[in-house]
Amino acid sequence: MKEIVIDPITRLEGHGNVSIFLNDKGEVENAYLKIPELRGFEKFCIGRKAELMPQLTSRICGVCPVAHHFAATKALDAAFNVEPPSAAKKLRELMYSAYYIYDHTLHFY
Amino acid sequence: MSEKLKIAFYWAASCGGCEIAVLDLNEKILDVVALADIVFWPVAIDIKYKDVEAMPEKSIDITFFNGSIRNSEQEHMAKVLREKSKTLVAFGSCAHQGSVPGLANLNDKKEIFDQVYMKDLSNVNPKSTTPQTQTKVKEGTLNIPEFYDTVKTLAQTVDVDYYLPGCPPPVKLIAAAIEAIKSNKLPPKGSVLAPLKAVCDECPRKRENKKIGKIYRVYDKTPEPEKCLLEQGILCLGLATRSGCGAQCLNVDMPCTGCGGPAPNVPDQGAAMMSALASILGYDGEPGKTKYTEKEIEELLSQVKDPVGTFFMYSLPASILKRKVIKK
Repeated sequence: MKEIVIDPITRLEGHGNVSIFLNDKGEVENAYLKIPELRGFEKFCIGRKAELMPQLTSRICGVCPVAHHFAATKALDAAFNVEPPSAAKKLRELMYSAYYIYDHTLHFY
Repeated sequence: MSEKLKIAFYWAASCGGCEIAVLDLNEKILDVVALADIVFWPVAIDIKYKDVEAMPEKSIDITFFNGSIRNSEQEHMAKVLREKSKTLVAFGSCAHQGSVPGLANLNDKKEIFDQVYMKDLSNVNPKSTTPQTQTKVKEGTLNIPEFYDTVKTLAQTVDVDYYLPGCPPPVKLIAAAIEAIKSNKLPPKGSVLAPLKAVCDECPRKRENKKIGKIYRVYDKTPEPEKCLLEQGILCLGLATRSGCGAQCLNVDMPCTGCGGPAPNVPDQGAAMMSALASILGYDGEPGKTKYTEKEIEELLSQVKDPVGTFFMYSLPASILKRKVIKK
């Protein structure tokens, strides 16, 4: 069966490639997306200091670090069993809104 | 310059933040485009691996390579780009020192696969499937790269000409490197393209050379704004870390975690920091005390939680430790 390989897929954040298999008639029989990338954050974050998580997990993706930073921050709120004060919530929202604009601008250009 | 330079960017085990750092050059990116043709950059332009593999040897003037070497595809691309490039720059902390993905050297492949594909609560994996380099499907065979036990730096994989430190490299260091390339003023091969200073040299906080008796976590207290964080008992890697960042974390009351890699003439960042800490850790109420019992030393040192993650957060693969021993 004829195989068309697109390696790598480009213009996005991350690693991937695609294999498309064609049958005798030249029609697509099946296609596979392959992800050749794993770093293992799920494992190496275990045993690190809790307060390091926003910094560590923001390295999951340097294009959307703010989302990972806040996910970890919210996890810490839960772990420490605290309710952030109103000012902190507003600061987080401001940061996220600014990031929203930044990220859309980035993708636009 | 009669002919434009040919520049390539590549990412191995990375997060994409180094790519963003290049884009954060903002209008200076126009200098890069005026100076050079970008011949390969997966995040931004559509060129395939086979096109790069078909390029003549040394046909790329400069490759900026970010990410550490985690699997066989990344190792292959490091070798290909070394062969195709006159100058290879390890760009960012991952390529330079192994960085955050390098913390995976505290585990081996099996332990990582077990966690990621079996133990993680979000998994439904009744057949305990893990990635295989070859998978037979009815249409043929699918290949993915081999995941290695050990994360390596770029220089542990191929010969490297320059290093741009930082996670990600500060924009002004990237701009300075571009300027040096433009004016043909690159320093000797093997240089780290950053100021010959430690983060402490750029930090505005005051040091009093005092002992610290108690180590605080960042959430334990609000630091005094003008005093050295380390001397306030907050672990800060500024002493052992290369500058170029303008001590920006310190300017917002956060300690340096060491992304710039080792300070000039420091062979091992984590070891240097532990050594510095050992010399100032002591009973702050007893400045004359020089002799400590084993128990007292143990008590002082036990305050340091997760020493590997603290002192080697960005440098484990490049350090003398390299990785945790794999028990066979």
